[in-house]
Amino acid sequence: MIEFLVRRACISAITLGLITVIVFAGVRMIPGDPARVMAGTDADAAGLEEIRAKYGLDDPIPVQYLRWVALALRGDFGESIRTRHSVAWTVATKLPITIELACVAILVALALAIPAGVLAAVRRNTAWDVVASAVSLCGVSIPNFWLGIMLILLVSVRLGWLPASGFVPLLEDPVANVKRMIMPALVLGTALAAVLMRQTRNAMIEVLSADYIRTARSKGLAGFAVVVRHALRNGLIPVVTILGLQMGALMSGAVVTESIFVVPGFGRLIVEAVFTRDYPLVQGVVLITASSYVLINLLVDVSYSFLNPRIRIRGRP
Amino acid sequence: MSVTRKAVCLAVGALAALILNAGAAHAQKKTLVVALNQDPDILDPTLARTYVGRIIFSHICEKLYEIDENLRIHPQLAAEMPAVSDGGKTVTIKLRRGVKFNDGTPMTAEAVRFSLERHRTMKGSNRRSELDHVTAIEVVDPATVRLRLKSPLAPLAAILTDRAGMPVSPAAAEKLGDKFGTAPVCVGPWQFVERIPQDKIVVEKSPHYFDPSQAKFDRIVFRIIPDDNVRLANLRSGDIDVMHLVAPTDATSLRKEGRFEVSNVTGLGYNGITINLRNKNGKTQAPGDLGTPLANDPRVREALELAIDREALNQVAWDGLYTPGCTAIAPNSPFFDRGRKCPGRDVARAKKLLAEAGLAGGYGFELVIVNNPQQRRVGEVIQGMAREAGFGITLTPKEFASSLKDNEDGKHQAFLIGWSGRVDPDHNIHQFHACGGSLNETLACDEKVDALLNKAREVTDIAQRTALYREASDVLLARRNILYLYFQNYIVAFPKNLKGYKAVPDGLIRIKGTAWQ
Repeated sequence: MIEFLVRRACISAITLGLITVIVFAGVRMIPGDPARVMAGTDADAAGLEEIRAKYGLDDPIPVQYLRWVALALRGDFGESIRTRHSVAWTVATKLPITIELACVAILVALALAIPAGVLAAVRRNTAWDVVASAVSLCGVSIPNFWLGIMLILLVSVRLGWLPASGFVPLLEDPVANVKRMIMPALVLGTALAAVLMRQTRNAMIEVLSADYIRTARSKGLAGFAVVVRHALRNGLIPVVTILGLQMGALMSGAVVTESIFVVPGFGRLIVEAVFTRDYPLVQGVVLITASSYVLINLLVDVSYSFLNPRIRIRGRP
Repeated sequence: MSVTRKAVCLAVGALAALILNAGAAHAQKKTLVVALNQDPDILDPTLARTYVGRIIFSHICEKLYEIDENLRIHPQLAAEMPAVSDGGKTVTIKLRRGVKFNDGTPMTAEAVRFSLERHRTMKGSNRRSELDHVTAIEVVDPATVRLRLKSPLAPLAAILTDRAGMPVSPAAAEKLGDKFGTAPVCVGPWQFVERIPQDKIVVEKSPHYFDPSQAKFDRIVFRIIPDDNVRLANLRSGDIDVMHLVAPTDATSLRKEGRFEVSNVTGLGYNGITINLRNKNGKTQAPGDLGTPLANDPRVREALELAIDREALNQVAWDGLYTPGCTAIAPNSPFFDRGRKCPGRDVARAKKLLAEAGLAGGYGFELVIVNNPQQRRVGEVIQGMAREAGFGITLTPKEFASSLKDNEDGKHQAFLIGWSGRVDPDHNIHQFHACGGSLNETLACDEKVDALLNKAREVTDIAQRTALYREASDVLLARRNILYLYFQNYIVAFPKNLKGYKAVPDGLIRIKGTAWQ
């Protein structure tokens, strides 16, 4: 067991090492001189030299890399060139916003997808099924930005029900927070809902034709109880798997959604950092994201081995 | 089960009611929300570089001098215009008395000296080149500073109307060092409260400002909303009060709606085609022969200019809301040459010039454009117009940062790019056209032009300087290393009951003096 854990940890460490190289090289492969971008069109040669010197941009690339890794190992990701705030602080303020947005979007998606999927499965090949499938197709096809703008125009401009944009921390003013989260979460949730609805429908159709459902019905249980208590519980397993796989899509959707609703989250942070060639920020953000993926994978692997000893045994050399 | 369900329904209903009702009524707001299209960089007048940052500074960091709608310079934190002596090499500035920084410390001559010295010498300062004529700064008495210059510098007062003229609180600057921008303290009707990157910057009314009647709002929130459509939707929904940079296409419909005031002012910055003449291997290398008719034959460049209809370009690309022009000096500048007529479109003559250059069968070159919809539109209009005269222009869109770098490295034949513009014409011409100028990326060089431009730096009389720029422009406009096409206008929209807004050609939003009616 210990050997297994050590081996997994080593693999993760190697992965992280490779990630640092890729992140660092990737950032430097973006065309455009960072000193130039920082200085804007207005800088003179002396100003550019000074920026390069200040941020060590004129050192050889391997030297820059080693300096960055050495500091990152101590938890120091440097500070944003543009705002002078530390990268760690910036990430720590942005990440919770996107996590909240993603969580609300998932709730929205589940609230829309599961009832619709169940309905489409139970009333298969009826008008209900056709409508649910058509709506789901629209949900997948409609681009986030279009839906977002349309929602703003309708709900905020025409009806004046909700603020068009912005973010207020949950603890500062919960009502204001919820008001500003509804529309972005709805937009982000719809695309996900469409995918989940299709999945729920398929899974439910399969489960509903299983023997144990027929047994439950023949016991004389009411239709609702059979569908919800017996069928849905089993039918949800593949849905949960798909939900997990969609997290990446949710994060990239967040980039667009955050821009439309001016939510100062993680997605906008990455985009802005790249456009302004804020090297320390881009590197820090990507590294932190990648590391958390690696860490989660490690934990999942380890937990699998606890849950299912066969994985542990098979993994032995 | 049913009880729980009822409870959930009730809770959801209550929440929805709460959400929909709250904020329905808001009276005369004491907080003004201004939307900007970009997140400023660091809010330190010494280190700052972005245009939008100057909008924040105009509320929290005032300057020794200020400009008005007619681009005339007047004292702001100074008490009077600078007194020049010693053949222009000594400049004495009297300061306004009783002025306090927003931490309550007095703005003395020593504090001003400290600030100018910081701008001039701090590591990473972006003000250094602006103040490089200054050799020493002296305190004469508690309300007077004296600058010693290496040579007379006519644009000095104009330089002090921007960040180089902003005094910072020495106490705060010494405490925070190069992090001063995270909590800036200067003189201003408002003071810095907080900043959330990519989201907002909040300022509140200062208790220390010498003229509190000018600040009619308790708070100003600057929100960062990059997308034009989103910014506009927020204006219409009332989430923001003042919108910076309305797209010309939207300005027309916004005016028709009747709810908003749409202010449109010709800006200081020009847009045009920069044509590479001699930059073969990069700006820092020796000039070389590019071997192309566009670079080597002035007739080809003249033909290109004659193929372009500036008025039509403005109509098609900008709904006629920008300002066509053919020099580096904006029409609202006191230095504008009113006698100069821009060349009109003349396709026949353009064809004739191309034929004389041995290109009767047509000539193709690559025009690099910054990759955004507006620049693409301008590029396509130029492409279409030039085609009729026999030019086959290939448009190459490039990401902004990369395009600047490639332009510096001599990789462009022609580049559609502008300059944000400055109050004094020197800053819009000298560095682009003088031999070895810091932004002279076409490597054009002419000693006669240099002599004229250097002379215009030294004389202070406006009429005399205008004449010098006229003479220099005659040469530059025939050389055509930059084909000036139009000036960008600044369009700002706000509700009609916001009164007192003044549109200054630098395009910065100034809330000082405005109020709800």
